[in-house]
Amino acid sequence: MAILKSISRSQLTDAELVQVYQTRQQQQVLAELYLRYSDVVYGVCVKYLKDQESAKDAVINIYQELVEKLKNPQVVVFRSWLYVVAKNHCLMQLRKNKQAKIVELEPSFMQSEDFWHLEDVLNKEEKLNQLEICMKQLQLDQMETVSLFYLQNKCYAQISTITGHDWNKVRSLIQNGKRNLKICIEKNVV
Amino acid sequence: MSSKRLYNYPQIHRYLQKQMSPPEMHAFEKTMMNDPFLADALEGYNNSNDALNKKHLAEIFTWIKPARNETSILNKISARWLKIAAILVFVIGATIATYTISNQEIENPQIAEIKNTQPSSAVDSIASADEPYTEKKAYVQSAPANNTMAFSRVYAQKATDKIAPEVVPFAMKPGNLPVDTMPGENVDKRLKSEELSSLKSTTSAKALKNISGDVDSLNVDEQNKDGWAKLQAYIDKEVNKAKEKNKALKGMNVQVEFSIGKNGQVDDIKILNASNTEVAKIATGILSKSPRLAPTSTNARAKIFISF
Repeated sequence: MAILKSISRSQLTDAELVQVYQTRQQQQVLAELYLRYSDVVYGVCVKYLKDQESAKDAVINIYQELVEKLKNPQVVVFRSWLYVVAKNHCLMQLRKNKQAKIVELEPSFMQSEDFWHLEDVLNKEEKLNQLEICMKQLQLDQMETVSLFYLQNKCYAQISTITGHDWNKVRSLIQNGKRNLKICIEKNVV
Repeated sequence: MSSKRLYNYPQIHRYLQKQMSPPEMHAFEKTMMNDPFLADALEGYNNSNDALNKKHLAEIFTWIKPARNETSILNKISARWLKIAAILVFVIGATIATYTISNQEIENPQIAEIKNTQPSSAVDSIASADEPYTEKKAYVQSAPANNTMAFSRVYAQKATDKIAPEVVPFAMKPGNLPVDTMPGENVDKRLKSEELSSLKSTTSAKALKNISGDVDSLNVDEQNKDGWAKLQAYIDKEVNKAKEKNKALKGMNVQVEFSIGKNGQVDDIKILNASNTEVAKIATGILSKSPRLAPTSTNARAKIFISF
């Protein structure tokens, strides 16, 4: 029976594991869930703490925090929630060290699966015309990179070769172009 | 898993090392565009020492792993129990199969007849020089096939002695009970109890052959030399009576084991096999009223096969 449980547990979704943990509060369930993302959490901590040793400690401390925090039945999308918990943990760590003012992210944001929903927008037939109009309103280099990335499925490296911009510039142009598109579409739809 | 495609350190590492194909990179970047978790992680890994990353990730995994492995330990224990259970099931199954086959052999008169054609060789083959049993066995010689009663090997042994697991049927004529019906055997030639005691631990073929056919090894006939013959005559008589009363009993068989008490009474009757419950009751009734044999101090047990 335990074998069957174990096999099925490894195939459970995040949401199912969260539910199992909230019901039974078994440490191994949490470990199973957390190990799916511990390396991504480590990367996030390295980014914010700028120190790999501190990041490693942070990953372990976050796991210990989750033991209690995950009992909260409000947690629905674990991955997004974990990102916010990890980020807040790192920001709190920085605040302790620097006494800097940190604003924590809103819980509503914590429950959001997708953050910008551009894919959904692109997939909607009725908004395609609006998208075309908004594309024309973008700056030339933004329009070019967004078009290459979303319409021609080119990767950053390829766009970098085509446009001559460096990797970071390409990324920035796509991010900014995407944000401007979103604002434009929302403004015109409303 | 989450519906979103998961990217972890191996994929991030491949991306940073430019080991992905352009379509893979595009898919990764597209995911990253909508996933600040992955974007932040990528940024973190991009500005870090890769060797140290690997070391730290291994340490994190080792630290968290014991909690996850609680399940594995349970699984191992469970698997161990399953193995034990499987072995037990196999052993029990094999035992039942062996028992069923041996009983079929007893109940099959054709097999009994075949064995009857080789009476002494059966004893000889069983009584091999290296046979490990220290029990005293009384084997019954065979008789022609027109029997109404058949005896299996009659085991005479102390209660603590090991019981041989197999039973080879020997059909007998009515009246051909162990001691008195051995061809060429004389009751006077029976081994004395002292001799038998000295043979307890003897395993030679010769010794077993001497015991075989000599129910004196049961130590029941010293005072009542024709006890076994009387018992058989009594059983024959009762079986015939029962058959006359109920013709449906004809052809039915019972295998019975009993002990010979200190006062020579037939005691502790156990039905090992019976065609039906009625015939088992009749056999038990017959044996419980049987004449006494000579007293024995050895807690001897005997198995007999009664054919109606």
